[in-house]
Amino acid sequence: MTCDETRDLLSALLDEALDTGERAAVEAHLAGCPDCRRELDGLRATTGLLARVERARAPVGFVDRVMTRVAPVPWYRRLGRALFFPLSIKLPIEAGAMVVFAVLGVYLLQTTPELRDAARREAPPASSPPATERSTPSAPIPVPPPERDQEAERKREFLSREAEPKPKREDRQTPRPPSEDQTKRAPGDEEQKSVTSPPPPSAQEAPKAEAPAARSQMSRSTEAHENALGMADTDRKGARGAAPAAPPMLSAKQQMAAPVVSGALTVTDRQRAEQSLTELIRKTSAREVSRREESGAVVVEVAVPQAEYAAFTRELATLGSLRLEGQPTEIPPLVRLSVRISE
Amino acid sequence: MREGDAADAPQFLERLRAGDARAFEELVAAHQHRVFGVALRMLGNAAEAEEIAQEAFLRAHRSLAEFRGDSRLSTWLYAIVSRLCLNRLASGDRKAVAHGEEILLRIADPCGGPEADTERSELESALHRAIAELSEERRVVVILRDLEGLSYEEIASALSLELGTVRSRLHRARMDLKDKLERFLP
Repeated sequence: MTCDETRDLLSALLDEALDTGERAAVEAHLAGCPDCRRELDGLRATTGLLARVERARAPVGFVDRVMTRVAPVPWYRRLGRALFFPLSIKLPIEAGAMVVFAVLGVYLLQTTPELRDAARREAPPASSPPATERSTPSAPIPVPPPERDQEAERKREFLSREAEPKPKREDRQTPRPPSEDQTKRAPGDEEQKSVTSPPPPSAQEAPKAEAPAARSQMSRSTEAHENALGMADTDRKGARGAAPAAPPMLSAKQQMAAPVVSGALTVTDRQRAEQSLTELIRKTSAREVSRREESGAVVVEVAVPQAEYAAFTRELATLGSLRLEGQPTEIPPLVRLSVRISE
Repeated sequence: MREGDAADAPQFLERLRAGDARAFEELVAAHQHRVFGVALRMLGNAAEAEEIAQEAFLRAHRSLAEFRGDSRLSTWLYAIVSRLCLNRLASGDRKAVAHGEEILLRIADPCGGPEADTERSELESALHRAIAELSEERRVVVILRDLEGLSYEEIASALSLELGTVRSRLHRARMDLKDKLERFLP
């Protein structure tokens, strides 16, 4: 082994990293070569110096910095800390705000249904007068002219002497233009006063017998409005009981309970007679209750106000041969006339 | 047994692979000085050395699941930081470091007087300067062998080198150092 080959293995010899053969060859060369032994001593001294080098130490906080980078605080935690720190100040304020909102929400939830129920209870008296006012001009049957209503007027005057709230009823029934203060008054004001005033004894009982003729005018529009609202019959009764000053309204039940006059109308042209009857109903204040086919004939039930009953039957008689049965001696406020039209 | 060897216990490795943060913190605490020391000797700048050392632990954390346990954890960490340092030195993307400015670490000796401090400081300055002047390939080998105590096989594994290459580079590095430190030799 040459000196160069031996010197290349001197470091490995120092580190005991040579296999047995190499080590034996190197040691054999070193035994006879003082230069290579000096080289070996120099290398051993150098590694000795290197062994004296102090170990470097990582700076303080190195572990924490590594851990922060390895598992950084999630953004929501950082946001939470920013929002809630210091806890001693922010947390009580935010908790208090949440409690206030919760209480407010519960209060609103509890009070809102009560307000809605209260609005429902007030709806009938508040809506009746405007409904009457609104539906009167749009009703298919116009308000009867004074000359046609003379008989009704007489009856009304007779009845108004018996009824207590005469002025109010007069105000409502006469189609005269409202005065200035009436126009200014809110529609529900009068009803509100009626609710607070004690009802007269006669108002609690159904005023079927004492109903004025004008009641039929009111009944159609008001009842239609009530039906449209889907009001229960008990509600309507309650409303009437609570508001005795309001004009008596004729309910569907009352209409059905009116005396029935049967009429047999024999005509040459049934369809034409039906059209004429329809025209007649439209011209007058009468109201068609029902119409049905019945073995070659048609039966039309009509509710005719007292004031127009005579004129109605007179016109009806012109359409053909009319025979009336069950005519009452005293004409009720509303006559239910069942006309059977046949050829 | 060197620092951190106890961390190679199977239970500890399982905790690390399971993502146990506490276990990883123990790993960092056990190996921080070794990893930082290699970076400092290689780069010669404390700030840059810390950056590379942190990066080495971050990479280790990401690759823990892939650590098969064929080598010791310390050898694995040496491999990571050594490659990071070599890449950094090769990239040229470094702040200018005044030669020997940062590597002249003064380590106080509580037992020695001012003279001893002066003498040792001179030797250490010479040592650090001599190491810093080595080529990167030789420097990393001599650091891992003579400063950190890795075996030839571990160095070959860490640096992905042949055993003969390790032996050759180490010998040349020592010969260079012997020449530079001749005045301190007997």
